[in-house]
Amino acid sequence: MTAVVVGVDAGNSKTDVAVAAMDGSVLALRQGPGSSPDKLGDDAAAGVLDGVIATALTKAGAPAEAVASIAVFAAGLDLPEDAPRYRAALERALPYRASISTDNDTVAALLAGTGGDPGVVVVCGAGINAMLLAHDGRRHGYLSLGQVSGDWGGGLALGREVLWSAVRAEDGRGRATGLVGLVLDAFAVDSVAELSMRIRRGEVAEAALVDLVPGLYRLAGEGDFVASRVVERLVDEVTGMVAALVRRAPDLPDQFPLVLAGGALTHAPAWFIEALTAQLRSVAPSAQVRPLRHKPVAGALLAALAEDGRDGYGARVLADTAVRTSGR
Amino acid sequence: MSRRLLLAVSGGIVATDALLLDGAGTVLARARAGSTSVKRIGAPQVVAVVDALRAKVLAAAGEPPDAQVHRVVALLADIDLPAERRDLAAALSTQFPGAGVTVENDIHAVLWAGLRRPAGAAVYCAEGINAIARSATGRTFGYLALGTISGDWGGALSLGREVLYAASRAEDGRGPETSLRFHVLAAFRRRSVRDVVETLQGAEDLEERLAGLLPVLTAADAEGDPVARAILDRLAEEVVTMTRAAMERALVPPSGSDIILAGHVLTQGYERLDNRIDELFAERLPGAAVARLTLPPVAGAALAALGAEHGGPVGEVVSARLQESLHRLPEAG
Repeated sequence: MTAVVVGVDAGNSKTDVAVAAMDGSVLALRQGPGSSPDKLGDDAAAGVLDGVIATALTKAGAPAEAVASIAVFAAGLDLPEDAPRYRAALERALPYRASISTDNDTVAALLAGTGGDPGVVVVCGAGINAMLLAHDGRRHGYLSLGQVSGDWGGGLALGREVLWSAVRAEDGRGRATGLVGLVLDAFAVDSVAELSMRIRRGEVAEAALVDLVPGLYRLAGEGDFVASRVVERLVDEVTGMVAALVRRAPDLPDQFPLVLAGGALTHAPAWFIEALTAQLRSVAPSAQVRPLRHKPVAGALLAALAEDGRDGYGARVLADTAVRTSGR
Repeated sequence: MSRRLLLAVSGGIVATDALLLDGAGTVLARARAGSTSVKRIGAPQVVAVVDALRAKVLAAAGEPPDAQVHRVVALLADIDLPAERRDLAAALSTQFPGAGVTVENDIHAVLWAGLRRPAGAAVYCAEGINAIARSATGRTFGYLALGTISGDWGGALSLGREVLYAASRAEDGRGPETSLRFHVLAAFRRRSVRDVVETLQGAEDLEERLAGLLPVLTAADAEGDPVARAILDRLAEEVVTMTRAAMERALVPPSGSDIILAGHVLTQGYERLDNRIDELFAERLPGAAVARLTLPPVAGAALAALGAEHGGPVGEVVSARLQESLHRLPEAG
């Protein structure tokens, strides 16, 4: 029986599970429903994860006894006590004698982006976070709990900003903007205020505002003043997050990878990425700015292999995961 | 014909005041109860609280418990949507047969308590922020005031969030240094802002804690901290912007209009903020008379009830009678 490791990227809306042999060759990739412990609660999240891991192992042809280590990176593990608590829940729920590790999902994106080498990742999905991996293996990131922890600029915050600006354009508090038309079309409402009321009544989930981000980019690209201001603030914000991290670890190597991840960045138009890259050069001149090319679950596999003392398979894991992802 | 009895209710998120008065404006009794926020306790419970207040004021005024109440005006926090207003008014009408029932957002209490002239505007800035304008013909324009989702910024809650935002960013290097950071640590008796924010996660009294950061903001501002100054300057801008847009929508010309500022954020007596707001009003809405509300909001609800009786804003005589008789009554417990 050949031993295997399992890597997990558990998000709010989907869970990726990958199984690899000890030499880093990827045997199976499975996607399942979201399993964020923050959203579902520890036990329910662990239950979802149990099912997805089992199907991935079946696909890989690996028996339960073969699993040597499981590395789980989950959305919502933000506070220091969250990761150990969820690990305990997984140890109760999962039927494997493997070692289990848990961490925040930003770490998986960091590992997938840098292959485990020193570097920086910015993840701009529904929320926003950035993380730096230093030479000494230490990681520096942000608390990332939203506005009260100093955050602005994830997809949801951008969507809220669009709604905020559109309401004010409609009622006269703010400047006229094409964002009004964007909101009316996207949610099929007759007035922006109607959308505010629908959200308040619970008929529309506030999380759906994230869908306004592509339209925000489009209007900014067309020169809409209010939309441009929001997008310029995002450029400044990402740059500021990177600058503060780099100041904390001044010994980053030349040409270190600076990886842009999360839908609000990976699906941003080319002109935005060019503007952002130019601004990032002003605070990190030698960085190699690039989009995240691998799924974060590849980073989870790297961590699972490292857990078992297997280092140095980064390239193979990343390449294999890429092949399997594109082949699906 | 026996005198008409009017019940005026001013409801907040935490406490509710009620007055029983006659049609001439004399206050007969007052009483106090807990929350009448539909968001917190639900509409049936709000009706129950108003009913209990009726029993209290009728007893205090020496009226029989089944005395006919002719008019009920309830100006309540968290009544934001038209449907909420209609539903609660219908429920109260069932409870008060034969009475004219009016339910409005609490911003109307400020408008009625403060305006000396028919036309003008009112801004209420407590936990949240709202503004309303009323034209001489009775046309009003107010905001939905649901928070960020309806375009708002600037109540004590959002100011508290801004304080933590700035303090967090000063600590982690994303933002400029600010003395807000150290005031926050002192207020929470913690050694890092990160620790403060972690502690607040999931706290049941999170909103109270955030709203309670207002003294932190004014203290840092008084020291000349630029970050705190920017936040309070933005508040002054916002107050004037909300007022101006509402007056434009309600077709109220600034000249000769009253602008009433109410709510503890605007009436706390912090001079730099007050001066900044007055300056901006003089610049943007010249000719308007800006005043800070001194009457309690429940007097506004009473004036609204009297206004409904008289078909328009009441005159000086009735208003003076109301205030004088209110002062003679003991404080409600």
